Amino acid sequence: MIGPGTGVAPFRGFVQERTAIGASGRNWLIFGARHQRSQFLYQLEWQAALKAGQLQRLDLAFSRDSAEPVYVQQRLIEQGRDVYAWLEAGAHLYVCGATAMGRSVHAALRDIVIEHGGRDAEAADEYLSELQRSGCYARDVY
Amino acid sequence: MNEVLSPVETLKRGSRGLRGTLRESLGDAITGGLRESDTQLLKFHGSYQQDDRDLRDERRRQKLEPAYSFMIRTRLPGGVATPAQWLALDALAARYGNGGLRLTTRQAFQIHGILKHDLKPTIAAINQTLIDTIAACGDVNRNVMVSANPVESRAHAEVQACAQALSEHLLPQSRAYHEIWLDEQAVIGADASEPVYGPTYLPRKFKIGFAITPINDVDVFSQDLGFIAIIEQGELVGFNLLVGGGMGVTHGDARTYPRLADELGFIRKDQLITVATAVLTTQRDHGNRSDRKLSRLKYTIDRLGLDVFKRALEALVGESLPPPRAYRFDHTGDRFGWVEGFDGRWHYTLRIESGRVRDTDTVRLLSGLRAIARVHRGDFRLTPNQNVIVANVDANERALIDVLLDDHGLAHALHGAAIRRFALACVALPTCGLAMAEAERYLPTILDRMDALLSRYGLHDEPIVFRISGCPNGCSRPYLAEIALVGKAPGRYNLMLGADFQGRRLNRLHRENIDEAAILTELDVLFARFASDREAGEHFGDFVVRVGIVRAPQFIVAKLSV
Ligand code: SF4
Repeated sequence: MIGPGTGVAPFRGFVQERTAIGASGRNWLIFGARHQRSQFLYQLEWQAALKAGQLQRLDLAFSRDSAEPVYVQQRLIEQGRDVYAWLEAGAHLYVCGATAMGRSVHAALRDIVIEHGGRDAEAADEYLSELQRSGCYARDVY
Repeated sequence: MNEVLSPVETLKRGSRGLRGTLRESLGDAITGGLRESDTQLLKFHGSYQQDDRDLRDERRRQKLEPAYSFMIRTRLPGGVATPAQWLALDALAARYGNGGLRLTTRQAFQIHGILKHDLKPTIAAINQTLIDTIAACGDVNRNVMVSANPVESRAHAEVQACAQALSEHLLPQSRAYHEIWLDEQAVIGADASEPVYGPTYLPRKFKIGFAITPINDVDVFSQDLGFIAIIEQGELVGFNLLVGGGMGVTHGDARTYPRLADELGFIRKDQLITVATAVLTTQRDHGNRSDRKLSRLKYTIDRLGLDVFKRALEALVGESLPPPRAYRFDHTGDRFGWVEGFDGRWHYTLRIESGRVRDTDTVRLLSGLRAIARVHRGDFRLTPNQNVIVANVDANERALIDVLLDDHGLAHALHGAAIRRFALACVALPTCGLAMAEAERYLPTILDRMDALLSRYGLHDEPIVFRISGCPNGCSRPYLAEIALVGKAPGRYNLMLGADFQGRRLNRLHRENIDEAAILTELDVLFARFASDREAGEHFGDFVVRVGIVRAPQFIVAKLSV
C-alpha cells in the first residue's frame, strides 16, 4: 500500500477489514507527507496496528523534515529488493494519491524491476502491465 | 536496604553506559517521541522529552500522538558564556526551537520545542560552541552553580574555577554521548568505567552550588551539596561545607519535605574535590534506590543521622572537619543595573522575567541581547535568579551597551514593583509534564495583582521574595520564598509564607489549595498588617513569623521508618 497524504485514507479500511476477517499474510504501508508532526494522518491508528501485528511494516517519508526532501518513491527504491520479492511472492500493490506521485512511483517500480528482476526496460514495462492486468497492481490517482 | 529496586535502577544498569536504544529511538519515524526507556536515559544526555499539553486533546481527536518535542539544557558551570556562545545558542533556538532562549534557575540555557529529527543536529551544534549538555539532567551531578556577580573580588574567579574543575571531575565518563550525538566511532571495550558513579550512577539528581558572600543568590541551603566561599583579605581560603538541602516534595506524602542543608564544617580549598566526591559517593552507596521520592541526599542524611553521615565523610576524607567559619548573607537576589567591579570593569544585570529571553512589542530581549552579543567583548553570566549579567565591560564601552539597551526597550526593565525583580517562576504548563498549575505564564498576571495590593499600602518599593512553582517539585525553589505559590490543581495553589530574605529559613504552608481570589484576599489582609505593624527594616517573611501568622519554621526532623 503506497498512499502519501490523503491517499492513505482507503488503506485504513484495508487494514481494518483484514483485521476483521482475521486475514493471514503480510501487509506493508508506505506513507509520506511534508511534516511528521502535523501531517502523519491516522498516526495513532497506524501505531496501534503495528503494535497489534495488524500491519507488518510501515515506511515513512516526510519531505520537509530534513535538509534533503524525501518522498515515498525514494523509500520504495531503498527497499527495492524487498518490494520485488513481495511482488514475486504474489503481493497486491495499491497506489493511491496525487497523479504526479503515481507517475513517480510507477517509474520507481520500473527501476526496481529492472534492477532486482534483471529485466531490460521493455520487459520491466511488460512485467508491470501484466501485474495491472491481473489486478495485482491497482492505482487510484487524482 | 533489601527493597525492590526502582525500575529506573534496572534501566540504568542495563543501559550499556547510558546508550540504551537511543539510536534506534531517534531513527524511528513512526513516532515523534522516544521509547519509554530511552526517555529516561535521554535525561543523562541533557534533554527531556515533553509534549505540548495544551494540544493533547485536540491531537487525540485528530488521531495524532501528543505533540512531542524536546527540551535541551546546557551544562554551564556558574552560568558563564561568551558572546560567541550566546549568538550560537540564540541562532540554534531560532532554527530548531520555539520561543527563544530560556535561562534556568540553575544558570543554564534551555531551548524548548526541538523536534526529534532535529535533536541530534542541535546537540552537535551546541557542542561546536564548546558547550555541552552532558549530565544536565538525570541521576548525576547537575549544573554546578556559582554566585553570578563577578564584582566582589579576585576570589570570585577562583571560586568559578573551583566549580568548573568540580563539574569536570563529576562528569560521567561513558562515551555514549559522543557516539550518539557527535558520531564518535565506538571502540569496543574502550568505554571507561564510571570511577565516581559506578554502573547505576546516583539514586537521584544531585545539586551543587557555590555561594560567595554577601549574596546567597545560589540559595546555597537548597543544594544537596553547598559551599560558602570563605574569603579573607580578598583571598579564597576555603569553604564552609553544607550538605542535604533540597526542595522537592510530593503532595500528600508526609515522608517528603523540603530541607535546608546542614553546615558540617570548614574545608580548605585543596580538599574540595576530595570532599565533594566523598559526599557524592556516600550518597551513591547509601541513597534509597527503591523509592525515588525518598532518594535525595536529604533523606539519606536524615535516615543515617547527621553525625553518622559526618563521621563516614570524615573517614573518607581522612581528617575531621573544623567548625564552619563565620559569614553573612544579605539577600538572595541580584543587583540590577550597572555595578562596578573590584578591577574597574562594569557589569550590567538585566532583569529577565521567568528567564524567558524573547521579543515582545515593547521589550525586545532576544534581539537586544543579540545586538549586545555582537559587540560585547566581555562575557555573559546567567544568574540563579534567571537574569543575565552583561559582564566585564570596559568603562568606555558602557555607553554603547546603554544605547543598545535603550534601543530595544530594555533600559526601563528595572522599573515597576520591587516584587517583580525578585520573582521566580518555573516553566510549568504547557511544557512540563509534572505541572499541576500554571507558573511562568501566570507570573505576570499575579504580579500585577499583587503589586496593586502592595501599592494600596505603600509597599510598591518593598522587596519581597515571591516564587511560584507549577508543582511541589519546586524548580523555582519556592520553599525559600517569603511568599510562595505551589501548584496543586489548575488555578489552585498552596500559599506558603515566612521564609527569610537571606535564604536561611524555609517557609510554611499557610493556606492549602486556594484559588486566586482567596490568595489575593489573604495577601490583602497580610499586606495591610505588614504596612501598619512592621518594625523598621523588617522584611515581610520575618514579620509574618514574628507576629505569629505562621509558626517559626524549623528544620524538619526525620521520621523515616526505614
Ligand atoms: S516545579 Fe514542577 S511544574 Fe515547575 S518545572 Fe519543576 S517539575 Fe515542572
